[in-house]
Amino acid sequence: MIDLIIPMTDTPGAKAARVNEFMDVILTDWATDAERTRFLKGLDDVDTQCHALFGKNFVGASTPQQTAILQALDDSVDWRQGPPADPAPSFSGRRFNQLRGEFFRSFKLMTIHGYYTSEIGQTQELKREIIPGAFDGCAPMASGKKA
Amino acid sequence: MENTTYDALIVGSGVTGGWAAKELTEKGLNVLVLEAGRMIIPEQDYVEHVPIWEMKFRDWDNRAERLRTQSIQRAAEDCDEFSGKFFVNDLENPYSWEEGKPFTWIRGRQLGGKSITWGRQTYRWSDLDFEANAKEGIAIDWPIRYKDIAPWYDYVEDFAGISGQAEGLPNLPDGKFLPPMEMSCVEQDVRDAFQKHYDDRIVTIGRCAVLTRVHKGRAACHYCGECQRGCITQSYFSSLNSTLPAAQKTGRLTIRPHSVVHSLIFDSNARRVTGVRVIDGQTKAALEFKARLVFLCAACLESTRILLNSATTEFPSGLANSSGELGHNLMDHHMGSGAEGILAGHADKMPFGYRPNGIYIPRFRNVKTQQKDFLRGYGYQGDSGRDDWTRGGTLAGFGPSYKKTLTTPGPWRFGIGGFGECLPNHGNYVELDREKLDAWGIPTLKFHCRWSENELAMSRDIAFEAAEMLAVAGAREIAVYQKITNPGRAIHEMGTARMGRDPKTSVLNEFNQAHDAKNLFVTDGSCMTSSSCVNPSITFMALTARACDYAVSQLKKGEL
Repeated sequence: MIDLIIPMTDTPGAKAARVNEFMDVILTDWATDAERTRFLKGLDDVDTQCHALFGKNFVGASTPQQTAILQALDDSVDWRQGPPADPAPSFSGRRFNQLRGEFFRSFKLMTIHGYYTSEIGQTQELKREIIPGAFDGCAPMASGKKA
Repeated sequence: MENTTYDALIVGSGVTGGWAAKELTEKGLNVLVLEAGRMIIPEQDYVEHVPIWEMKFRDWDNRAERLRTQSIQRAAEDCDEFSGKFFVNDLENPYSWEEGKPFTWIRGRQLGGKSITWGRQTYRWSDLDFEANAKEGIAIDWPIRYKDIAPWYDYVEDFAGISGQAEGLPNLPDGKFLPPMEMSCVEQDVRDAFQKHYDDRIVTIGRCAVLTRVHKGRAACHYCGECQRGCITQSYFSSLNSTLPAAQKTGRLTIRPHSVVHSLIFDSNARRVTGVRVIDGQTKAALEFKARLVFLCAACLESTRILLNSATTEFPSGLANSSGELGHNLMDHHMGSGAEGILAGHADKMPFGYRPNGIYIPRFRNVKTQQKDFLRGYGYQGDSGRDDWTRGGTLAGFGPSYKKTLTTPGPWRFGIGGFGECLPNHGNYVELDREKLDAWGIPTLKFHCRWSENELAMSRDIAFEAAEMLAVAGAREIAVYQKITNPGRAIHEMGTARMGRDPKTSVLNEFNQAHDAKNLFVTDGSCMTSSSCVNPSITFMALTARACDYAVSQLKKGEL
């Protein structure tokens, strides 16, 4: 699934960037029990859905079939809304709300975070320099500088 | 070490402790710095160049540990997976507050203190600030004016290295600046829009203690953007980068880490502080150190806490507290109001490098005339940038085109947030709680502090003006917010041992010298008699250097 979200293009994709390992760390050492349970159930539901539609589980389905499942998942989330807010109104620090939303919201967020903070993501895809050496407030983008 | 009598003891090694160490050792004194926390070894402890993929949680943070041990400190954005180690353990350093009046007390407790993680913004006070109490009949008059501190601003700015743009504003005096950092495309547009539309306010580049060229042997900034994680090139001001090395060079500096100061020892016959009682941070052993001169630079509330805990039969409510003002007149800046929006244009431009600085909109409220239903004023810090891959969490889609979108920069965004002045109020205070002790058996503080109607009215104006300014700048999708932060959250806490001319209404005189104990100086934020709206650390530095100069000249005259 991660490789469908961030596939190989002119740079490696999520699988090559070992995003699944990042997700394991998050599920094991970061998520609450409730978040982990909801996430794992969400994964199960993907297989259930895939069986219902195509008679196989997700890893056994064809690429077009997998893409169809993913499209339905992506369409089911209201992306303009962020995850549900942390119930601590006057608190201004980080809120640890990355896994508070519905399954596919969490899955996609973990995928992109795991990819774009990986060594492949940072160095090959984003071409991010840890030590730029200078600051230019208004530099032309022509040289392929990325976000 | 315990048997040596030092010329001077300094409690704390942060912004002001580092300065006191430099000044006093350079003037020939043998100095002991007592730091409550651990030593910091730059080569081992700095993490500014550690790649994000080497962090276990990739900056999503060690959530369980953070919630367990830093449930309060985590309110500071920089208390994260990289820099959380530069903030205190809340379990070891508890405190309390009166119900309904929460105070967010953010602290560092290691060599360098909060000078490692501070925001590096540096703005001078003017007489608009120094005269406000007297003109408005609030609290007490400052015992100094701008002319008294101006040479000391010159002095500390010259050593630290401050970059900025001279603007000629009477209420934001210029310093001798290193070259200013650049504004981004949209910040220049906003500045130009202000020039056309406003005659009372400007946008200027932030004035900050970050070097834009080589300065006194320290390298210029290389724009990695993570000063709060440490800086191996010494390119921003911190005690570790700047003042402590200078003190070390004299050969007259001794630093004792893991030295938790319990109280000061006062000789009531001699009317002097003779030394300091310390609890060793690691062994909990009780020790004493003696000196001719004591500088309290433990940070605003910790210095006051030490004085409160140094009560004697003569000073039952705290050492040097004949005025009754110790612990009182606590202030902080309020935040939580601002606006942001999307600015058009410059689709083919990006910032290059990570600028550790923003733009600044100096105070325009109640400057020439009293305009509003609140006294005093506020300034804004602001920043800009283009949306990056992190917006993927709010974008529909997946696959090759989604991936391409995420690495194509999104629109330019610009945002500003206000810092508002807080009126001094005797009813905002801290006291000792002898029932609730910290990990070293020392009584903790209980806070009684809430915003007055003046701060609340100002907070609303900050948001209103921010929205209008974003509109003037031509922004669209303007989002305004107005939710005043807790006292303490701005991490600009000031007051509780204020300066003044009259020993009956102040703790310290015009040279930060305790009225009740001539050889005791307190030069951190606790000395402040009012709060202005500008970031205060550079003022603490100037007051410290000035107080050291006075203390040593008095010492040489045999007065101390």
